[in-house]
Amino acid sequence: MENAGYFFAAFALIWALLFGYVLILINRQKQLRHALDSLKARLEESEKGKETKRGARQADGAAI
Amino acid sequence: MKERIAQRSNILPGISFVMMMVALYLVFIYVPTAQGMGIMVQKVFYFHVPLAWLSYLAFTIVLVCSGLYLWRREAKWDIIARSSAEVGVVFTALVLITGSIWAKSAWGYWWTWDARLTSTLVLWLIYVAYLMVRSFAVEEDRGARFAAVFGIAGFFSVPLSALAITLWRTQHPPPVIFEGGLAPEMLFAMLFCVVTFTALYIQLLTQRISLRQIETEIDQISQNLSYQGG
Repeated sequence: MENAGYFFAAFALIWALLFGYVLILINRQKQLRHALDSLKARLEESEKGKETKRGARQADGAAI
Repeated sequence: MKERIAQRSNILPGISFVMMMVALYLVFIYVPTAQGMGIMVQKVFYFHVPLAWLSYLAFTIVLVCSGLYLWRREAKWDIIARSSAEVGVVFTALVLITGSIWAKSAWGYWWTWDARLTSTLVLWLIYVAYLMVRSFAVEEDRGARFAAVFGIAGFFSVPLSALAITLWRTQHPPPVIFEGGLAPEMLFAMLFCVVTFTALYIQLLTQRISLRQIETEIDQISQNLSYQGG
């Protein structure tokens, strides 16, 4: 087992780096999906709010 | 495009994992150990060489997609180029690290300013700079254009690194793969590792592209919200 230490160090580093990179990508994806969902919810709320305002304005116009 | 990417991202990790396990079996158990390159540590070569080839492929894709972006001005080419550069940088970092570990074992030192090693380090630094240029750009469109020009100009370092061992006298071992220098079992294991790392590259690239697509979607929704005063 000549140079076994270097051999295992090289393999450990390859897997550690690749695994670390994949973990970073997965975490980032989770964070972004969460951010995207909350933004979509905000967008929906804001569109609903707009519709409600428009409806109220139309009702006011009809009353006048 | 999104659906196709989502389907692939479900299958590819499994395929890559199984292939990785088979590759490990081939490298550790199946192939004989070559004499004269540092008895045990020479097995690093089955990962070092495919990683180097795949990093050249990744940077070639950066070149092609950068050219397509400048020609067509479609955001998807910029996304693919940027994603491929990132995976290429990770692979090149692994090439430098594994090469350095092998050098310590075979030559007795971690690093030497040899043509192959230096040109590979320069290659890595160029694409790290590319990613920094792309990340720090204030205007998205201008950043994409500047990065595309950088991606094309920086490609000169790929053939320089790949041909360094034939252009100059270096300490780096000469190419043996296509010159009959490998036993059939070794050649089979090497080619299998190339295919395995290609699958891993495609998987990482797909994952990075889908991340970038989510980022783009978030930017668009944020802009819509800011226009609406939400």
